[in-house]
Amino acid sequence: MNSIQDCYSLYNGVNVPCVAFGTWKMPDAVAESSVACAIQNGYRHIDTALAYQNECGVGAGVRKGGVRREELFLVSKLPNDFHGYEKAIAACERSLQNLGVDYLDAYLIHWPVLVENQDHLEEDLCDTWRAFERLYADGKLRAIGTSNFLEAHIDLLKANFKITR
Amino acid sequence: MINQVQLHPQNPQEEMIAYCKQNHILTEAWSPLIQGQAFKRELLIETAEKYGVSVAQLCIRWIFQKALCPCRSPQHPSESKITRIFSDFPFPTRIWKKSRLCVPTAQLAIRRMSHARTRLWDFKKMNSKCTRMSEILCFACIFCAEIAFFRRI
Repeated sequence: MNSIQDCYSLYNGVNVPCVAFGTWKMPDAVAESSVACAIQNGYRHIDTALAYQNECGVGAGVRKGGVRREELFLVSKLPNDFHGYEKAIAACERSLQNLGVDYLDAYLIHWPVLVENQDHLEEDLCDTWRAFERLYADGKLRAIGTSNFLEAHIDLLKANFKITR
Repeated sequence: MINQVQLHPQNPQEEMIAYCKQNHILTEAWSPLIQGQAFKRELLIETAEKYGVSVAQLCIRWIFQKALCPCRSPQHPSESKITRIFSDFPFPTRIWKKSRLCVPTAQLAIRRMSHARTRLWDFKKMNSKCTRMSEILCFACIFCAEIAFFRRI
């Protein structure tokens, strides 16, 4: 990697800039100024999550950064209490709205952890992933993924779904 | 597909990296600087000195050498802190040998629990203690559950 804008390629051909600018623990105002600063200085990959409660600030920072949307790689994540088909679709819509964009470059399941209905982890992960595939097919997401998953969790997705690479 | 996990020299996640590569999944590394603890780790300090780089450069370079994507959230981000990474590029040479550091962190705790109990989904029990979606709470639950589990045996 020679530059912060060099990319890795995902299996579906989508390019991922090699360094992400994370925004965990940043309140809205800090996220706004630091995301703008990061973009103005060359970062193209911005990482947030609904659980960080700063998507509005990140979205404002993205607009302030002054780089065209298609040059950025914007990532958000589904919180633990939004597993399930309908809820996942709703959470994604909320992230899109907070960020003020009409698509995300990647959307990840934040944790393989449920807040309620722990007995339904396998079913719920599958329902969530079904929603992710739907959002991907609808063009709202350019790539889908997971976070903090172990091999067995990914194996579960592999056994049940098409998009697992 | 992407899998973003806690990954740094103290939690090298070699099995996970191999698994993801095999399955055409890009691994992203959160907490590449061990949430700031990297600056206190003697081995990292010594290694960085040996190669004339900063501890942060060393950690980021270590991740690139594994062909992974670091995701760093600078705390109290100032412009100089945000732009500091540019002094790290390019990354032409390999300087890092296999990490000698390895202590349990969140991801390892999850892994150990699911291995120890053989059934992966058993760790949903500990989730029942999670009342909020906060990651910090999840961590706390994981560790509490782990301690409780190891006390039982």
